[in-house]
Amino acid sequence: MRVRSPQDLVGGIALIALAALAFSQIGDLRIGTASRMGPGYFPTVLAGLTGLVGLVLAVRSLVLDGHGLESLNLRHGLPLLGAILVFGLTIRPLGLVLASALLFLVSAFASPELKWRETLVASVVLIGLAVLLFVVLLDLPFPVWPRM
Amino acid sequence: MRFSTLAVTAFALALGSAPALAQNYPSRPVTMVVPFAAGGPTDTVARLVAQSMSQTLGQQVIVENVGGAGGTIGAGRVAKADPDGYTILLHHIGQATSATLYRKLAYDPKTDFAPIGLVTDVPMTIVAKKDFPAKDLKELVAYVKANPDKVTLANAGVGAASHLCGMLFMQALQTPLTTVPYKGTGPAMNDLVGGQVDLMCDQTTNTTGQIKGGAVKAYAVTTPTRVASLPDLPTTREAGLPGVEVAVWHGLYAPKGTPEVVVTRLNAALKVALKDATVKQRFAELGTEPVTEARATPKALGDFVVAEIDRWRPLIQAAGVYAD
Amino acid sequence: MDSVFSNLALGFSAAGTPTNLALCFIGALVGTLIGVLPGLGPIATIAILLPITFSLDPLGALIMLAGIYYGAQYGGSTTAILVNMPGETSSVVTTLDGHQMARQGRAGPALAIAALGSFFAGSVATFLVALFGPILASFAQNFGPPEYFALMLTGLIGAIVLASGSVLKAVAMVIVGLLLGCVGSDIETGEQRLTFGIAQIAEGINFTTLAVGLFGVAEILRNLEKTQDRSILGAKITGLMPTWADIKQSIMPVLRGTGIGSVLGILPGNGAVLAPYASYTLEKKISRTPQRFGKGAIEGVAGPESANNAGAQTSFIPLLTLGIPPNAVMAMMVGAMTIQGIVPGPTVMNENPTLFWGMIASMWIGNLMLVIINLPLVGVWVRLLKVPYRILFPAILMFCCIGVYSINSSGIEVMLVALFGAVGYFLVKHGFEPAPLLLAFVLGPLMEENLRRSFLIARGDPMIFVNRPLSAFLLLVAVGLLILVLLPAIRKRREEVFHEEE
Repeated sequence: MRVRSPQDLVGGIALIALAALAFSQIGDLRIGTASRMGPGYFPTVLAGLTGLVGLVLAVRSLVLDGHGLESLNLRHGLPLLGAILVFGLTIRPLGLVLASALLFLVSAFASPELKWRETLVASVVLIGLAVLLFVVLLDLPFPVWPRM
Repeated sequence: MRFSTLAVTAFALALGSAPALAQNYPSRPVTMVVPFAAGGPTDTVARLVAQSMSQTLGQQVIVENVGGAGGTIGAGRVAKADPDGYTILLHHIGQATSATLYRKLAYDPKTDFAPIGLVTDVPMTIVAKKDFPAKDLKELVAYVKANPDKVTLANAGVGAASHLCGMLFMQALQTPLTTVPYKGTGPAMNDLVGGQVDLMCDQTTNTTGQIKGGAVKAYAVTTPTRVASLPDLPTTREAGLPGVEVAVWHGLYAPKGTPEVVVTRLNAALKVALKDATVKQRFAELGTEPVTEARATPKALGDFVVAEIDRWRPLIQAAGVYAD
Repeated sequence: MDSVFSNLALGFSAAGTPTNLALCFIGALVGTLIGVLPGLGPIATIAILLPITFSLDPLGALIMLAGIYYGAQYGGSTTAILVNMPGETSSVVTTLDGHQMARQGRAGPALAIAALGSFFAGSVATFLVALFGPILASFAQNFGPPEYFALMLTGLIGAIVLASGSVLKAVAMVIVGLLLGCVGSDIETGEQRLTFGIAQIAEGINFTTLAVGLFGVAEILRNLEKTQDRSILGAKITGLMPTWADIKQSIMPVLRGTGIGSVLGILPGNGAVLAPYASYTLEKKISRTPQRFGKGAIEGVAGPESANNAGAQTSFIPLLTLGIPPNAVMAMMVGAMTIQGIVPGPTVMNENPTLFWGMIASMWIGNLMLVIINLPLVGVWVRLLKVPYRILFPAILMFCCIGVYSINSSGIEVMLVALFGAVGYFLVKHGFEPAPLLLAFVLGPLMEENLRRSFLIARGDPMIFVNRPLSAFLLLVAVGLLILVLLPAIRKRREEVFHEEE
């Protein structure tokens, strides 16, 4: 047996994994009946369908030709996602200015062509703009600096 | 020697500065957390009060919407905020009901807050679809008791005012009804106006317009006295159902440990806000009015929270409905 | 009829004072400028800008609000076209062909046709509101839970049409979207479903969080690997304004979109959410060249954008005549009005005619301001695309984070964006399209609610769906659409298989 569509195989497996994850969370939610649905009815049916479609996709990938796998781009992906995580983690303790600065710093590693001086200027300008817009002009309750 | 002098000075400063800072309160903007989305009824109350309090305090009172999990995320954030008076909470009846609705609450509504004062009571009304057979509340009760499997009761979701009032109503009648839940008052009211469901008990904020416009039939208001905006509507007590008395009250809180001077200052500003002509007028348009001065106090709110927690706990537990 | 026109005259004279016009202009301008920031959809934009209207007199505030509302809506579409980031449900469709047009150097025509189509649709819908508002509203009252269930089901089937690739994968995305829509507390019992104990999603996943991650972040990643240091543009910018051929191609889609949007917007149960999808589905189905859709077809921008704006307009009907806000944006408008001392409902029209008709007039003025502001701005937006991507992407990222944070002041929701970004990237890399997922995510909860509600009202009797003529009719439409969707797909698949084996 040969995998004729690796892309679909991985996709199918991912759907099956998602279904398993959903089932693990449904736990003891009451399912009920079609005419008297409990909280678990929709999630159970949908998790089941997700798994089923995943299975069909995976099996089909052995039969029908399809696309090969594209490589995941971690070189750009990790710093990009990291930058968002860092912002989310630091916005409350450190405030808008420092959290944004960290975001620029981390995301710089995702940049296709890094020019430090340009990044520095751009980030200073953009952070200034954000503070001016959201805090000074619109009066939003953002923490700007770390709380003492 | 030098070190100890420094330490003593620092100690003295620390001792002296806390009250000193409190005396100068507020020296920067105050954040009023509303644990619901912008534009909702609680947000409206908060913004009206905040506007007036800003003038009194001489510092901006900024409303911050921290929505989610039935108001418990925003309340939890204030419970854990620095007790310096710069983070305060405006919350409604949910402050008391969440103590039972949420079994895994990360804070204690009774002890983790320094109450500042009650703000307003929003009365509720018992309303039915236009062509509902009953003429008055007595007939309504009789009809519901005779046809418990025919009548449907709408509410705006677990923990909503309409849900609480509905539970109270069914308990008073000793008759369980088919409850039809909605996500929010809008869709629930829509189906009531459209005659898809029979009954609802909801805040005057949402029902006054519909009642006046003849889109729904009103039977009673759930407060001890009649409301000014609907003078012809009897109270539940007058109409013979004294057990159903409920209002959606709003209270203002600071985190536990906030210096008393600060609480007093905030309370004074609140009291001024509640006498403000604009606030009064806007409240009236919402179908509510500011609480009396005697109830706009830290003690009154503190006691009330405890009383309300005790009042709703058995009801919620009996219904077996929890939000987590 | 006469009274309607005299009322409209009253409205225009109240709303048309220089001060009010200026307020409307400022509102539309600020709404556009904030709404265009990635991550700040109309809901967030309106929430942010609401407070600036508080200090005005009621009519002035409402007029400025109208400007903000249309500005924010259009700003959201601009972001969808330029950087493939939908700020709200309706602009998901706009990304499909609008962003493709931008990549081909045709962002200008896409933006211009969106503005012009919206203006036309908005004008027509405004007069519908003025002339037939109350009558239409009472018709819409016939829609109960069974009808909404059928309607949402129809919409879901339509979601499959949005995909331009594999039908099976589109079905998978719809199901996953429905599953994500289940996250949050159960409507009846309040129990937590699929929340993994995260309090921030106890009331469900935020649309913006999901859309920004799934579309926006994944898009940035894709661009980073493709474009290297250049801009997003795949081709040279060819003209800012639509050509005569573009306009000819767009006229019928705009008319049809206006019709679809006007009808769906009247439904108080958030029918407007379906409008752009329905328009897109229709245009793709009746087009002689359906293969152009998803690759930069101008009909795919003109139709849905008009439908969206018409729907946005007629959703004021349930609000103004019944006092019922049909969706989140409208609920916010209620809040703004209440702060101004106006409780929307059946009584406003009689108790305060100047205000009521002034508001109707301001809708049209708001739409006009939108065109006046945005046509000259098209050049500016298009030039943004020329900014080197190494500068543009961190800026987009920052505004996304700030936007998501601003909704609930929650850092955890920002971190969820990263999670959905990773998911979105995985999907793209494996040939799954996110648009059907996002639509199903929005419609799923509405569908489940109305299904369960129908059974509650009928006490478990499934006949409620066929005994009610309107519901039965809508279910038939759903079945018909399903056949329409599946047949060509199956045929196409066969052709493809055949083709591949050759």
